[in-house]
Amino acid sequence: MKRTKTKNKARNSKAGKGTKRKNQLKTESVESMPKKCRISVNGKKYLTDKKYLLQGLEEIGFDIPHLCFHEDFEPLATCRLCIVESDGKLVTSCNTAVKEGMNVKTDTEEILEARRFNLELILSDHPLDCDYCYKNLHCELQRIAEKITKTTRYKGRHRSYEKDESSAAIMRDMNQCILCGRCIAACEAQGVCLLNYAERGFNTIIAPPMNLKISNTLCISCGQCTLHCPTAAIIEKDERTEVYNALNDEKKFVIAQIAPSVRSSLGEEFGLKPGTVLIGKVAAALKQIGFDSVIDTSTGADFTIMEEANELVERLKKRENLPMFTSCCPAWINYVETFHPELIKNLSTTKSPHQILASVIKTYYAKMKNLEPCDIVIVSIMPCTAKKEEATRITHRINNIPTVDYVLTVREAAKMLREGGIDIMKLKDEKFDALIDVASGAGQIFGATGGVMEAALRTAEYFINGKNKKERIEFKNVRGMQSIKTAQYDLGKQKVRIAVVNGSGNAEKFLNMIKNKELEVDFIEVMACPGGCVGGGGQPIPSSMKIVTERAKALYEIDKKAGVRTSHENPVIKKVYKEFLKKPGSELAEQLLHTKYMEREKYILKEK
Amino acid sequence: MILIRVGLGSCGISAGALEVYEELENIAERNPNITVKKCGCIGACYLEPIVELKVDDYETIIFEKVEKKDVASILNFAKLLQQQEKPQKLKKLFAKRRDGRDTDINAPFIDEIDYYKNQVKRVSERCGIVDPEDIEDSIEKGSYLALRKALSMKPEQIIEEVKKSGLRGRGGAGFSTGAKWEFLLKEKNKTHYLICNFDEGDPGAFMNRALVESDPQLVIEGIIITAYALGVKNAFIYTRAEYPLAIKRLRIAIQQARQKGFLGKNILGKNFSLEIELRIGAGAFVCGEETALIKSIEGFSGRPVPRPPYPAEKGLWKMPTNINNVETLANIPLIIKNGAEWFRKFGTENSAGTKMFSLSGDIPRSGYIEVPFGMNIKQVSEIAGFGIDDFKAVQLGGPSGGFIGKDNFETPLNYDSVKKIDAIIGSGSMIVISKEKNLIDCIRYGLRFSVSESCGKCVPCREGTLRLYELATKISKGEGNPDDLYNIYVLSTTIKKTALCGLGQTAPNLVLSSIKHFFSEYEDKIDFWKGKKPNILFYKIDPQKCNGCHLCAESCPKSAISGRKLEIHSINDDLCVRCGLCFRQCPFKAIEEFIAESAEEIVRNDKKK
Repeated sequence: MKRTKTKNKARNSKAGKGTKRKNQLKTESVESMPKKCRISVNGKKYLTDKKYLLQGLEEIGFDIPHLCFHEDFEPLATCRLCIVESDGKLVTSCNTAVKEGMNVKTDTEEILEARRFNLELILSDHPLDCDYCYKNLHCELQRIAEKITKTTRYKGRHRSYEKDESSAAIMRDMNQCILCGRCIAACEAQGVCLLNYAERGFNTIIAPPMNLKISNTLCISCGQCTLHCPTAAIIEKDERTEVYNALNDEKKFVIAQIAPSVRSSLGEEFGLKPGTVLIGKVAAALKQIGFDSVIDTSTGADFTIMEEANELVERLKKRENLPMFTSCCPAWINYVETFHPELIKNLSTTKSPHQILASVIKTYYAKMKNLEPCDIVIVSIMPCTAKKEEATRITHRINNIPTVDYVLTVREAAKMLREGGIDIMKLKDEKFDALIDVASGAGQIFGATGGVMEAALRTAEYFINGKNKKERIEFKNVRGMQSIKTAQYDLGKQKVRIAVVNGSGNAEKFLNMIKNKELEVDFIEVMACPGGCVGGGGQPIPSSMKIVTERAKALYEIDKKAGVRTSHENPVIKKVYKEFLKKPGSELAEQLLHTKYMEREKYILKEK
Repeated sequence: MILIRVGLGSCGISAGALEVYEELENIAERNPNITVKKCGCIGACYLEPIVELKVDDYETIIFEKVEKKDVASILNFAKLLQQQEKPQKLKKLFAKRRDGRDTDINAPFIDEIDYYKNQVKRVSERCGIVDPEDIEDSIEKGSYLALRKALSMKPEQIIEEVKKSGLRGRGGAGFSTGAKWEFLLKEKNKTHYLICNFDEGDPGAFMNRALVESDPQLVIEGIIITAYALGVKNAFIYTRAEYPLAIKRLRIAIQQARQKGFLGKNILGKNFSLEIELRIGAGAFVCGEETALIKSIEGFSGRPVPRPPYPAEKGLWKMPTNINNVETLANIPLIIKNGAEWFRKFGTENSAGTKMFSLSGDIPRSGYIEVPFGMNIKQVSEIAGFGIDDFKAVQLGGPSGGFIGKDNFETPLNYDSVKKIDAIIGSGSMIVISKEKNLIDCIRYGLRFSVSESCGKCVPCREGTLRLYELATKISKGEGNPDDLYNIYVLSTTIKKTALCGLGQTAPNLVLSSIKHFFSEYEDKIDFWKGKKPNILFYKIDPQKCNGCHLCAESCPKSAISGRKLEIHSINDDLCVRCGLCFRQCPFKAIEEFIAESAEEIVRNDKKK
């Protein structure tokens, strides 16, 4: 409220004229917001409360070219493109703190030349094969080059490295890399710290230790590096070809399932605002490019909740393997398996939603539709790269066929829709597969941090008490973007101390807190990506905490309006349990919906 | 009593001094009359191995280029002297010192020799005389007197004295040491750290190594005093693995200082404790840069991070940190012992005191020297023994410095006037380049160094230095065209203005300095420029004078001039190859020729408007 007030004041003061305006500015800066600084840009005065000059300039409306700066990280100042003149000196605006009375120029000849030459230097060691590039038209370097220069006057040595396609989740092509260092910052924020600069001078490369292949390292496949790479140096493993082949195979029945968080982010790929919800249109579009059926992964999330809540109640009863960690996030599973194998027993054994749904489809659904399980191809459209890796796990096979066949990120799916020539906004809404068509609100908030916890609490309360308190279907303490949230809920006979963590880097801090006995908890939701799946490594680019918050908000809106808000009330769930699985934790459910984890080696060093 | 000192610095050892030392020790074992001692380097590296002989209270005799086979004759010489018989003059006799009874030997005194007569030995006073591995010897020769005095002063008084002395950082940038210390004291509540920067990395610089190898106690004393003044409890010496001898001697020196109670808890009974830790880097040039150095000490790879925050606010482990060069710290005990007034006796107003330089290149006498600020290259040439007419340039300040040519050899060498002639004092390396050498090849060498030593983080330095190197190579092969030279120039200025750290910003200095002062080198390689003004130029059409006659556009070989007949024409600077044809064609003198320097002024004038 306070902020909007000052904003209005600032607007008023800008509209004012002459001396009057000056006076207003003065009084305001003294009275309300001491942190706001007056800066003069190209002779015009502005007020800004941003920390760095680049952010301030962007707020005002300037488009300063930059490649390495990202608002979620501290400035790296490596690309040297955001040059401006501050008090007569050329500086990089990304790491120049805003100071009172600063005199900034953004467009002198000197500045433009410096930007241009630095861009030419970047391009001089770039393949410049935009037309064939995976990120064509979605590349930040290309966008800036369009504005400044697309050619370079420097001909000389080029770096040449082999591509690293070893990982099931991400691909690295260091020839495309501009060494901005954002992936390093992202990897560090995730607590993995795998990528860093290696070598010196022109041979500098961003690589894992000893230039190992990604598959031989402790990479948790979260894909945050792909989300922050401005070029196509680190991208998700591209599986479109396989999906196209499946779609064109007449024998195959191809099912797409879309993850909860995809509905609030896919629109961004088509120029819509973050947080725009597309459900029916996505189903229609996917059917239009050839999918035989489209199913909502949120239904899978409901299954997950049934199993997980049951598991929690069981463990609470027996007081064993507590605290229990959620297992929906494959990157978190990787993290535990690699860094904290001692916690494997504390992980819930429930499969992640898309795997559970795929298991149900390849068994129950196949029987109902009279299909051979091996003729069904399941393509998950996920905000996640780790799910690609998860899909290749042998422990997820049923009768020796993989449950999920292919995983597409939101970016790949959008690319397919664009390639298919589909104008998504013109389509009429269509419904999900008639057999599995209802998803509860609880299943849909899975995409945001705290969502799994909230959904699980709703159902756990039902399991313990046999009913839900009407006034408390929303557990508001677990919502929001704080990195670590804790709460305690009295679920009738049982008190549950819970914690919600997002970002695997924060999880490390959290585990230390538990280790030092600063905290005692029973049930913990961990999402490896900041903000949960809405900030996932497979989400549209650009992504930042601001955008992520918008996406999460949209999901909670859906939940609010949903007819069914808890998983156990979902008619589909009830039906499947009644007809097929019997009850949560039954033998069949144990066999189909649960999995095993194994300790992972950090580095695999093979001698050549 | 016969005392023999053998110069065992890196320079001496590489010249074979170890062999001489071992031979002497063998003899000394059998003869209690003879004492053999190690010492560092007296600066005349071209004369190594150097052996100094002191017989009873006679003056010290210095022998040059001593080999194993000369040992016998030197000992014989000593015996004769001891028996008060005048020995025959030996061929390898170099000089004598004024420190005892006249020996009546026909040899010059060391302070009369060309190499030494204009030098002022202060920091390096004890170098080559004191035993670097024996603290007793140092104490005997005056070590730790300054520390005792300093501990009787208040920290503020020390800082005041250093400020008064006008001491400036000897590492390169030449920032006032006193002022730098005061920055640190702004944040009083936090733990402070002191780092001694001994990461001497530029090609041609070795004076810091010589200093530490010869007199490590002086450096340690300087660190202790500084730590006392700044309230530091933990100090670090950062050096490179390439200096094994210096590391060994520092280790011994620190250990001995601790045994003597100069380090550790309650130093000399005062309420002041200090530990010095030696940190060894892998030998990256960029680790001499403050932020990279800090990263390296912290255990990360040594890559600079953007400043601010400056180390004085957030340095080592995010605590306020002061980083000083070895030579700066070695000056502190002298200032404390003798006072600021004494310190200011030599040098100039803004660059007080003396500076150690290392001389190398195409000269007969190489080694390190210590001269007062304000000396010029001509005087240095007398020390180093090169003829003014035989040399082309002196590269001052290593790969980040510049070339000083004949037209500037009377410019006094101090921080400010050297800057004016596009060079830097830097850490103090002087490489003399003879007439026969090609300067562009020297630039290529410097650039190759920058290319391989760049940390690779920021674009201008990583990509730019390589492109500069490629362009310089092209020109040096004789394949260059006018465009290349122009590109070299603008690329250099861009790197200078936009690189992240000091290494990048100074990497193109050699190029810029050579373009400005040695343009003839480029003229020789690019036919096009022969007979042209020695500078980068460009052309502009004055719109008020242009009458739209179109003659210029017709004459332009690159079609760089746009405009139709009877319209005002303009030159596209990117296409222009600066051939000057249009300039000569224009009947209205509407085309102006700018040299790059004055062009900067024009841009500045525009801004004012």
